[in-house]
Amino acid sequence: MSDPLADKILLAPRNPEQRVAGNALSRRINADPEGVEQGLAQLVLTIVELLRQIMERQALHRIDAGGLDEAQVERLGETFLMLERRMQELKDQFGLEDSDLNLDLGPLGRLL
Amino acid sequence: MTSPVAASQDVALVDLVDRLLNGGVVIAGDITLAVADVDLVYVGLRALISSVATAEANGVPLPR
Amino acid sequence: MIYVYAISEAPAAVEADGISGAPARSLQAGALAAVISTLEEPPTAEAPALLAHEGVVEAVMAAQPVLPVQFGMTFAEEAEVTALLERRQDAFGELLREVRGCVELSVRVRWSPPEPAAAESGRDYLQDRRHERRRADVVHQPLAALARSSTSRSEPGLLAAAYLVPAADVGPFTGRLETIRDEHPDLDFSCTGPWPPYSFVGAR
Repeated sequence: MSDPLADKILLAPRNPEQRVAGNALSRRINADPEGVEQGLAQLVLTIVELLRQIMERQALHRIDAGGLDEAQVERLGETFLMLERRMQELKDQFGLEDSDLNLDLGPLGRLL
Repeated sequence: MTSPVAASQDVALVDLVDRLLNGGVVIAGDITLAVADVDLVYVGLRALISSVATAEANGVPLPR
Repeated sequence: MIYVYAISEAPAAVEADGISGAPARSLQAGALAAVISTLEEPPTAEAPALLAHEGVVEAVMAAQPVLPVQFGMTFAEEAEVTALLERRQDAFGELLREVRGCVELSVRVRWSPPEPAAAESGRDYLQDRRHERRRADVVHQPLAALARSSTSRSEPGLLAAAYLVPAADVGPFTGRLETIRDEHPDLDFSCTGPWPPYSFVGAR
């Protein structure tokens, strides 16, 4: 096994390579049974909201770039309108506000 | 513990495995998000997943 | 199932055996070609399969520009692969132009990092990190200047970098690296390659 890699060494280290184990990060999921469903809904809806925003932005780019006909533009608009309404229904159903969907990723900033 | 020769071979192996498992084009698990028959967003799902794994390994806190 | 090793320009003339001895072949879609094998089952990420994958990618790279595919990419049938090539042909074409004639060199530099406990305040900690970053840059910047493209990440005590270098420049690059090594006896250098350009085709 080492033979095919022997000629890949251009400069050898003085000290043996140490495998650094990745920091095992415990994912903090709310273990409270009543909260679990809402917590999962929060996560899923956040992702859906993120995708919805990405897609809306992309749709606007495409429309601005002029590559779509009137019928496509109309269909796009209607679809986003329906998506927005459906998102609102789901948020109401799970008792979530817009601010609940804006998760804090620490050094990566806020999700939305 | 390890001879210099074995250490060298280790470093090549580490570099190879790192490249094969974390690098390269990710093509399986692609998603194209279409709205109303218009392709809008291409998502490399495997790349997204491995980014999460990389974030965890680097101690980035993920949402509760 | 179809296993994909690499993407290249059509036709990708490849004569090599891949994972489990399955011969690699070229699957064309327009101006692109995927280098594939038919496998019975998905491969496990162990040395023989990893080395076989690498062997196929390098066989392609010997003759033409190549985009190495991440290990483990399988599809149910060829039609899925050709559809993928067609859908992403502009992006893949662009990447092939960027890596044409180049190889990847990996450089790792290690040193003894300052004890984290030694930092008594947030400000001390940040100064330590800035100092670490500068140590890494002193090595990385001159090498990056020799490369068409580069990536690097640093942690306490480690700089791990990859450089996309024209194949003909590998000699001068390692020469420069040796000079830098001689200037920094407190740093432990290693360099491996040439590799196919895994770090410059978008996975990270």
